[in-house]
Amino acid sequence: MGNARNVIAIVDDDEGVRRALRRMILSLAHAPVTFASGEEFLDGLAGASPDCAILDLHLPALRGIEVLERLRAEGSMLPVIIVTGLDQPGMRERCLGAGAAAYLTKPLGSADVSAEIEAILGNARHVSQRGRVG
Amino acid sequence: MTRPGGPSWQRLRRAAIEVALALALWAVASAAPAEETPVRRILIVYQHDSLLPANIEAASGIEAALAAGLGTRRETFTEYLDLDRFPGPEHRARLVEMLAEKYADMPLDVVIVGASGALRFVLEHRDAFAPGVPIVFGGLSAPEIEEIAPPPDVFGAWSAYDIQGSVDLARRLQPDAERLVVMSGSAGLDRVWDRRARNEIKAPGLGVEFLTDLSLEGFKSRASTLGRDTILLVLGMNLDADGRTLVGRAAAAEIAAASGAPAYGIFSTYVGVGFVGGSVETFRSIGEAMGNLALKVMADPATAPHRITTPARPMVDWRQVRRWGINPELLPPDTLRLYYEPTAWERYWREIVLAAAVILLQSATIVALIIQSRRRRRIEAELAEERLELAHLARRTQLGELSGAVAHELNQPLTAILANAEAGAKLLAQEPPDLAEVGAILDDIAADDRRAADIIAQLRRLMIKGDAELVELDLNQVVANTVGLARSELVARQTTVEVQTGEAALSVRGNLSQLQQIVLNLTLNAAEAMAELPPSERKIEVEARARDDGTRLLAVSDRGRGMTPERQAEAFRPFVTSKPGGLGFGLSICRTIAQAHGGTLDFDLSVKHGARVVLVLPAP
Repeated sequence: MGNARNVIAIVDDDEGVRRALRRMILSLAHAPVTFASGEEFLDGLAGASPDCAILDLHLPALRGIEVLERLRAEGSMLPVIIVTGLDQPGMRERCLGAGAAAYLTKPLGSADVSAEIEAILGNARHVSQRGRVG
Repeated sequence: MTRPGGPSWQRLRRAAIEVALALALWAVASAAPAEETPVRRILIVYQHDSLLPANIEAASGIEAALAAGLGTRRETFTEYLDLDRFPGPEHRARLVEMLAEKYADMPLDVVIVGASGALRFVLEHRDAFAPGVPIVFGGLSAPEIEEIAPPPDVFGAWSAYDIQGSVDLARRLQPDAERLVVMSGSAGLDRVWDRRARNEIKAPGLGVEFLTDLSLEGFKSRASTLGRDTILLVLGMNLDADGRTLVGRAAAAEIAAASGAPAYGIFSTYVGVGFVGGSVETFRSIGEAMGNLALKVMADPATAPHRITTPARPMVDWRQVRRWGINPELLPPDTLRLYYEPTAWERYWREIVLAAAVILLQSATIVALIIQSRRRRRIEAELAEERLELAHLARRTQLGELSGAVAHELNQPLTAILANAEAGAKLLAQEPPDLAEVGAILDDIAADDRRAADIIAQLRRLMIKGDAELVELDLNQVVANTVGLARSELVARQTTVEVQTGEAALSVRGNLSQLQQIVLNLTLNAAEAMAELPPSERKIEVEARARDDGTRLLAVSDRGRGMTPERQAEAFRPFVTSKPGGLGFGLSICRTIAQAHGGTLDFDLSVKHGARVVLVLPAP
């Protein structure tokens, strides 16, 4: 578990959810950055340089899975936690198959989110270090 | 061969004319009576004056009989002797002289005489004015006739003057009577009646009292003391004990008016002046009998009967029957009812029956209509109930399809609440706690809680069946709420909704859940129609506004492929669907709901691209 504040991107079209998740990330001692849509997130990705993204699956226009696929298509390895209020059959597999680091269903408990972030960022550091070594 | 115009021809022609003339004469002769009936001269002699009701009635009977028998071939002469008011010999002498002179050159065929005094006069003086002329009398009773002992060329219509019959009728009509009081005047004839009554009356069980030789006032006074348990029988009343000559009918009327008991008589003239009635001959029937007997005498005195009897029959004054409260059912069946006032039923029974039939028919029709109307209302109520049921079923089906999206929609506030709560807890654990942020968090929690509650309320409203009551609603609000409920589903379908409503409330009279059902159905149909389009083109427009005529319009448009007019028409029929697994009555039910609101639901035929469904509701 890193002590440093990680930047966590929150992508959700619901303002109330965004604000609540932002507080949750703050309480977990990370730095939240919020986006209201997939397009906004992709556009702001470079400037925000998040360490991890919590990406809602149900976004208007560009859906969460499409955002993920586009990220991966563009070569970004940003760890993405997909969250959904509607756990449709097969969606978990599809998301993980598309490169999601985790798949969580709403409502989200801070313990679950924290555990996933820690797990992901530990791996990411490891991957990144390996990458640097490699 | 005879030449026309020659002598033979002329003879023939003359013969033919003679034959024709003979035939014509024969025809005329045969048309005339074979033997002409001579004009008959009839003298009618009355004892009293011409205004006596008995005389008037009798005269009409005589006239009727003579007119029927002789037609116009008769001459009728009438003499009113007025013997009662002028009883002296001088009057009689003057009468004889006058009659003798009057009819000296006027040979008579028959003399008809009414009443005994007149008969006596005529028999005594007939040689002076009607020598050898046969006499016909009427209106006399057997005792009178026996006393007079008329000669053989006198023929009579004997009157029964049915004293016993009148008593019997009275007893029949007054079954509870205990007394019978019989009144007679003081004239010779009155005494004849009194004697007859004493001899003839048989009234077992009744106390019978005969009253005579009283003044008229005396009779009235006694009559006034009688009660309902008494039968009063008034006979002849031509002279009272004070020597006053009375007109029988008028005197009897005064006595009847004073009487406390129902009065009966033996003369038809008493019926109608306050008497209940009696077993009487009418003076008209006596007149007819005399007239008919006179005809027979004139035709052939040898074969004419010397004695016929005029029958009596029960006769009552209906007004007196009513006045004394006599039960009409007690009347003998052949009773002649004078002054009969038929009851409304008797008078108008046809009309009453017809009216009753019409009323019955109308009532039956009304009852049938009421039953039919109730049945129709019941069926309508059942249909309405079924419509509600079906609408509810359709809503539930739709919500079933939406359940995932709804779960997502509920999870949004729940997610926010949970995240906020946990963050808040951590903030409170800090030292010092950031109370301002905790306050903001609590506000957000409350707001998200309300949001979740709203969603649940909306869902519940759509889930429950509810009633069809129409209330005032804001159509804009209905649209906003419904589209909100469908938001997650639309997001999942990558379909955006553009709602165009005014800022002011758009009031309608409607049923909230049913109107939401329409909006939801149209919105999801629109999303469905655009499923094959790229997500960026999937756009629904929902418009709500008041039209110029005050009606409310709600239109949902999509950018799909649209429908042919045939498909549009079909889309409103139940069980028509393009959705796999769909029940296919969404639009059909929506139209039914619209109609139940007094509105319409149709495709906008002017739209060329995509489809636009328009709901029009009446002005509130």
